[in-house]
Amino acid sequence: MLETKDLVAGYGTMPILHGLSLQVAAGEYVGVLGHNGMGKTTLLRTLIGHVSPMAGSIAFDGRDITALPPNRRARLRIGYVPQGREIFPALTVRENLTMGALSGAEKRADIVTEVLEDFPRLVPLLDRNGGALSGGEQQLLAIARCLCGKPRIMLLDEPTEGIQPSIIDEIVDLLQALRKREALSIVLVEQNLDFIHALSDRVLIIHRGEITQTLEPEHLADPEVVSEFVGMTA
Amino acid sequence: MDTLLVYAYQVAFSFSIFILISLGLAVIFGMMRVINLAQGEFIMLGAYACVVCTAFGLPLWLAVPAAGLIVGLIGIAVERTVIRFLYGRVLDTLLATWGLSLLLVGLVTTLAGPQSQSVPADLGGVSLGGLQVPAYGLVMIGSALAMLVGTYALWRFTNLGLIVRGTMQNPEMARALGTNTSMIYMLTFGFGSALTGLAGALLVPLFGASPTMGLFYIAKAFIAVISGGPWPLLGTLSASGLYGSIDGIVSFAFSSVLGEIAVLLVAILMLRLLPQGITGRLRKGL
Repeated sequence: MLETKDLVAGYGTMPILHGLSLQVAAGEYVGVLGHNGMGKTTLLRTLIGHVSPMAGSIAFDGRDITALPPNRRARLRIGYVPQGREIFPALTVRENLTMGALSGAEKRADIVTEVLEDFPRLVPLLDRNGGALSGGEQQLLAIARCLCGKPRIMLLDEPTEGIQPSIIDEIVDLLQALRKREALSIVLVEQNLDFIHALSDRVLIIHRGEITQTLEPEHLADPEVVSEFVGMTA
Repeated sequence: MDTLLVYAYQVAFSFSIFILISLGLAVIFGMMRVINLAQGEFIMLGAYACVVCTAFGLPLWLAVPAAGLIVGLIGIAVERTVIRFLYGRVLDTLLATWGLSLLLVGLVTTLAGPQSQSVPADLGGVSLGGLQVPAYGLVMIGSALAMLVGTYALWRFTNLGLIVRGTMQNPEMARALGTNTSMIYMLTFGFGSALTGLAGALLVPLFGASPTMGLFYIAKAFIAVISGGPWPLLGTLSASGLYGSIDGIVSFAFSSVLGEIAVLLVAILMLRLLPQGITGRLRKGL
């Protein structure tokens, strides 16, 4: 469904991804694990189109999207939940969601109501400003806003960063429920082992801008593997 | 009572002028953060567009919206050819729009001559507390309020307005959600320009059109938008109310020169007392 070939990308003339190739099948949840500075965020930013690759290609449903700007990719139903969540601070929660619904592929404001069924925690906050929410609430909002664009694949960048554990559990339950119900694929970039373990069908190890290894999630329970690939964050 | 009525008119009139000249800037600088030094010249273009439209036989009430449309289109052309390459580059924007302002003054002087031109409103006067005031003044007050309310409603209650506000807050995220932000920037700049052009056209019957008229307005416009603070529309409304009241009262009681001086003094005081602007402490707004 989503495929990159020999992707070279970075900032300025400094490549951070050095020929990265990966495939994501329809309905698959793929975790990407790696240290800080190994290119996890750059990978997702290149997939959504904020970073233009210097070489290599990105294909979505067999169509080459390497040259498409982010808004065109979003319309093809590639959803993006960035690191730091990037909530519109001076829009209300409802407006943040509506913004996602109106900008996305279907452009229907009533998607918001459908999506909110999965986010009961957001309902009492609808008229609050996005900037007034806690980190965890903002993370839920960022995921909900992404779903308002009716994505077929969701790019999730460190959703557990700085979030209270109860909301992390909520996000796990939510994403597992979505997997059963909808044909959604996910590329999940994380450092939180439990989280990636709970959600991924397959875990890719990213090291210095390349995918160096593929792990089944059960390997993550093995402390040796963990220390080898994740080191200090375990 | 009569004097009170006259004062009320003067205040409302000064208020409407502040609103007219600063509303477009509230969009272009307040929302988009583009420091457009050619803003005064957009007012001037609106005035001349109105003069030209009436010269072609259009009645004034049609020439004014036509002028808004024309300046809106000019704004879109300017955004596509100059401004869009300069978002986030403050110094370059200053230079480019200053150059544009000089160019427009020179161009209009060459084409239309340096002398002032006007279009009579032919509405007569209204007796207000024993004093004759031009009926057109009331038209201006009404138009300014309508433009303000219309802009507020557009931003606050429409889907397009929501997308514009989101885009201005975080363009990169808006793009990742599917918004064509380049188009939104273009439309917003065009809308701000159209408001500015409308203002210029509305000013013509009372103040005329001349190539250098923009100079009179640009400082006041920036003063109103900057002291308004982070919420451009509410800020411009409250700043216009404040400066309009001061200008209206002092001008009527003493002279218009003293009125301008009073406004500038209060503006300096405001920057000292409320460096974040009048709306600086508001948590919500527009």
